[in-house]
Amino acid sequence: MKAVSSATRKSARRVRDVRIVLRAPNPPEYRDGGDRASGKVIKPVERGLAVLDAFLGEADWLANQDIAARTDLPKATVSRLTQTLTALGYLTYSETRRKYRLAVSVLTLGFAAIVDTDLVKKARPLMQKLADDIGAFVGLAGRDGLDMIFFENCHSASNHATVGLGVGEHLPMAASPVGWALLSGLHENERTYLLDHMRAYHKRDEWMTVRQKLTDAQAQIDEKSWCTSSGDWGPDIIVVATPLLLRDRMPMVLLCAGQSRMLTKSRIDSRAGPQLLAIRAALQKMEAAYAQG
Amino acid sequence: MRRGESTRQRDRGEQASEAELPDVVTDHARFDERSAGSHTLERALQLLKVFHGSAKPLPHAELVRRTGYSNASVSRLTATLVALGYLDRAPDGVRVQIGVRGLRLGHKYLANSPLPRIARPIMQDFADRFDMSVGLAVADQLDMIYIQYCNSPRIATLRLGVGRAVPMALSSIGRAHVWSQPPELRQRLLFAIWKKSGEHGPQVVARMERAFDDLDSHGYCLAAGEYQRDTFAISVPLTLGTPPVPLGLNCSAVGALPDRITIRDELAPALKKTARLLTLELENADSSLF
Repeated sequence: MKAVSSATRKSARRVRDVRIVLRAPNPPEYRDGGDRASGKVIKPVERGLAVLDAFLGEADWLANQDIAARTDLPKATVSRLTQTLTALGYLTYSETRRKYRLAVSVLTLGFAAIVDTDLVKKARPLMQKLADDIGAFVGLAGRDGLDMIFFENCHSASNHATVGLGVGEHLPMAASPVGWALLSGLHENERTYLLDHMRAYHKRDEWMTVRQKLTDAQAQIDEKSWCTSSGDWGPDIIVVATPLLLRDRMPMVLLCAGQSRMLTKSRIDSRAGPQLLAIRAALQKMEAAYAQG
Repeated sequence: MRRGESTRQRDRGEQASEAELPDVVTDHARFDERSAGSHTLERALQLLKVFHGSAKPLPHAELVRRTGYSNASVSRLTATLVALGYLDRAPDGVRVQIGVRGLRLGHKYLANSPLPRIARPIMQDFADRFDMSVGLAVADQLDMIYIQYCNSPRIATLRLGVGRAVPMALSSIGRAHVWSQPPELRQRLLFAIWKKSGEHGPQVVARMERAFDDLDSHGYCLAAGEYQRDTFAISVPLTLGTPPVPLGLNCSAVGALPDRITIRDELAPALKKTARLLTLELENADSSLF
């Protein structure tokens, strides 16, 4: 695990650079853009992955001719590819059935990296509704090394001014209320472990400040389940964050952030805070229902 | 071993041999005419593997370093995998990260396999009782891939989950697996690990053999602070299903290694009991479905 590698440190932007912007940052759309059009796709790779894709249908077991039918590839090509994929551990062959099935190596194609995307899907509509209601940014973040990474960001439809953060952006855990909320939700051993590693990146005085803020955040969370911070991100930005702990998921944080006029103390106490907790409860309920089924 | 050392050594190992996968392990000898096409496909799949199941975007140079492929071929493979949705460009437009396409295949595999589903309640019980993480892994070339992983709900630091891979040579779960193999296969694995570890080969294999001694005398092995600092794991080998498939089971946590007595009298027996329960529960399961 490169939990604390130096590369991780570089990726984070400074929290003070988080600014209010007038248009939500959207990552440019690359998916079906230039790469395919410029004819750079390598045929054997495309075909091999098409064979794997053929297994995404209803049937678990497929014979070479089934795959050929689904992929429009010649049968000889398919049988060569299924042999290669079997030798590499992506498919398994049953002598009795004379058919293939997905094998354990398909998990290395990225399953672990985005296993939480289904949760994001469930959370998104609830988060967007809150963002529209309170006119602020609502996000879902998790841990990546000593940084927090944003899984999902909902910008308010009712307020053009929003926080300039995109999905996949990193912020250092130590410097951000989002990180403090996460740390407060963790088991003590875990917290100590992470703090020990973070300390190395701070001067002594700086570190005392970080510890102080973490303690404050923890006290707030103990009292009302969320913590509020102002001025830790760019000027005039209020952040409200609550830890989101779900069984079998990595610990995460739900947060909303916006200008101080949108997130006044009374609005936080009456709307933003309780509604964050309501989303948290809804997700916990959905997860529990999922585990039952 | 200090952390920096182990990381360097692992990385060097990758550089040295991931361009050509170790044949001893993957049974490539079975088909002689490996066409250039299947070789390219293999390289593309290998490029996805070097992300080690992490969502972190990687720059081009890092991919070149991890795969050992040329600049040009990493560019070509990356462009293809982006076009097919297996990789995504990161928001900065330069680095690439794992795309969503592979996720669906992983889901489908796990949905088909009865193993993770049946194993889960038994493993979760252990995780809850001891406030530890419990993992079940199978061998994939020289890695172990977790096919089930149960946490106590508050554990975050060992961010290994289902689908993640750890090197066989450096993890206790991998060592337990190698130990459980028949002598001939064990030798072949050790040889491949030696070759892959380059100049650190003797050291790596010596550590594995020390773990084998523990397994011989106690039936479990330990790793503390080797793969990830301030962590420890206890592993046992097991076989599941009919015909039997070899796997590894471990429990792990953050913090100092508990004292020998606690491990010997509490954790190790409980872990072995969990392994026995799994074996019994899956006794009649058709392992071709795993």
